[in-house]
Amino acid sequence: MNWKKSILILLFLCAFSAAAFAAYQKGQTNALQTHMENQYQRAFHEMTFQMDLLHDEIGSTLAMNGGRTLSPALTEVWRLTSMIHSDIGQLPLGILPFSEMEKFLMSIGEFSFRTSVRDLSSEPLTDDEYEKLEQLYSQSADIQNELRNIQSKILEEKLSWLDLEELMATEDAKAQPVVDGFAKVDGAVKGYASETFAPTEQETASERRRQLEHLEGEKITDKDALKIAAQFSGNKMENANVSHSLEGSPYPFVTVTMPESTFSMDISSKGGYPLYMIKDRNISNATLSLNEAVTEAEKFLIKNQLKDLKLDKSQQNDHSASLTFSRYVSEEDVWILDDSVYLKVALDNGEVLGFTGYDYWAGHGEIEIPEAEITEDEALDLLHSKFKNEETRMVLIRNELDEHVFCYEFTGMTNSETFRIYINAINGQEEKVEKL
Amino acid sequence: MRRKACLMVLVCSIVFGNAASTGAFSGQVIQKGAFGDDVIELQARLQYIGYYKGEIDGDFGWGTYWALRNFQNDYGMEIDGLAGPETRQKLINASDYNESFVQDNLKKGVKFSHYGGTPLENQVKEEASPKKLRLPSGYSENDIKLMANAVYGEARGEPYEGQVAVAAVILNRIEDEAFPNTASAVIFEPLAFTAVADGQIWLTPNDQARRAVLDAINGWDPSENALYYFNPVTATSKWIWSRPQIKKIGEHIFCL
Repeated sequence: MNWKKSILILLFLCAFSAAAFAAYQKGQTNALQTHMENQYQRAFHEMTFQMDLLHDEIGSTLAMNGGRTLSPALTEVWRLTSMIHSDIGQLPLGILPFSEMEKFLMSIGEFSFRTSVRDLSSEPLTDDEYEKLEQLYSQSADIQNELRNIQSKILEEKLSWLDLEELMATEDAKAQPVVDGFAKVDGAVKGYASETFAPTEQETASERRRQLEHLEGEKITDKDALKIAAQFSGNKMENANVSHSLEGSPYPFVTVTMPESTFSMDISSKGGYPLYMIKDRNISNATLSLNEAVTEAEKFLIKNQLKDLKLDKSQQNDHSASLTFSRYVSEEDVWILDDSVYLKVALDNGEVLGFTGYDYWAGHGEIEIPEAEITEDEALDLLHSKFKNEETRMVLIRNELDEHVFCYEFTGMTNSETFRIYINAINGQEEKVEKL
Repeated sequence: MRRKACLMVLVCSIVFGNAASTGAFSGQVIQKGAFGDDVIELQARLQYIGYYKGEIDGDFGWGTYWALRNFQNDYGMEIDGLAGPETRQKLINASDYNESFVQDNLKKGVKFSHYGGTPLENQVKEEASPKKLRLPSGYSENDIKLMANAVYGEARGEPYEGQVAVAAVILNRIEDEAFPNTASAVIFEPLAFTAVADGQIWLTPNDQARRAVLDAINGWDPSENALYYFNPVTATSKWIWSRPQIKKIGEHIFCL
């Protein structure tokens, strides 16, 4: 019976190809997994190795006394911290508490960078800084040891990072020696960071978050919040929801939303200051010019009693305008560039669709404007001869150390590119250069 | 937050409409940051009398700004960098504008210039002019696409402010010292985002996700400076519950 045979052969072929396909897929998955695993392994072993190097490099900076070899050594420390940082970023630690370690690395990096760019022959390391380096030396030894322990456990038990990755998300992870090891390193490092680096040394992002804590005023009710939102945005609050910030927020606030018109706004609970407002809608027929949008924005600011603000930047987008207004002290003709509000204006009817006021409220307070000690011409002399200045402003900005500095802001051209250069008006130091 | 001050811009290809062939400004006051036909005419006229040497692209940037100020200076006007009625009139008197020549070449997308005194046909090059995108400084078109992908994958069912908040969390992480320093490194950090882990990041994002990313880049942060967020219904990690919680938007709890 020929047809029976054919069917048999056909069935057999089907079964065979299905099995072959499954085997092929399994093989592919395995290959992929091995590939992933190898990537993780590489990142981890590289990190421990770099940590060794870091420890040694800090050690050698201690042994040096002159500026000539010290600067390159400190630069090397800085480079290593950034490489370790990047290796950590490639490990599946996203949800694992390893953030203290990264912060600590960044502080070492900051410290070594700042000292390495300094002219160490005229301004050698202070006793304080030496002490800091010694501390770092012993602390990095501890971290190194812990990481070595973890490494040997991984190698001994042939632990796979892929398995760890799955474990990491669950409660069982705590019992896992490697995860436990990382948590231990992180815990130890937390102590180091606070004992070696005074928190004033650098304002961290988490500290910046607290900058609205100083806002004072009467506590507002939900009803007040709705009233403020209606007044501020010029929208009727229909079917609006009011919710409150959760307990972890450094400053309490009230949120007003209208899901139907995709409107949402946060208002500080103390004093009822508008923090941000946003409304998303389609803007189809853009007829207003950027200049008219600025006029609408200015009306909005006056209506809401946001004072001393002057247009700093404007940008026309497809159907809206993005505007930055910065605080401007007219008597002194000085811009305070940090204290800004951002507005988004629809180009169909001039409605203000967005407002952000954090920076304005965070800096809101009396700021003393110092006397300039060098003249504009003296400051101009400090610039590169190829730079052709076009526009000068007096500004208060924050420098890299996050201090307020009083500067001459020169905007002009070098070749055909526009640059902005900030020269400290007290000591003539070049604080910042931006390419625009 | 400070970084955001310098990030006011949006990405959009410039749309060149068909203006009337007589080619006189529409009457708006043209200022820095604007784009469109009036800016094209402004650039072309400034180039005709030798003030503007850049590309005529309809984008009022710094090059156009300096050219306009120099023109105002030389013609004895107030130097404000705004093309108001007086400036426009003086410019029209001093220059010529061949609108069809400029618009045609813009449509063709070739390099060209519009200097006076040189035959126009000699000012067109066969080279294609590079396509221009208006991007926030510090971010490339690809960064924005990637973030829009992440936002769409993570929060497409969320209210608009929830999507902006997710984009803001990515930006807050870039800024925070405990996280990587680029958009791609933050997004692809292993285990950082579920949409990356399960491949949903490769869905095609809609316009709203993109708008959310741009709003976040321009400074909006409905998350109130959060670094993490999670969905309390599906979160598998116990650790995330230990973070100080700031705010709930839609299904997500945002925390420090």
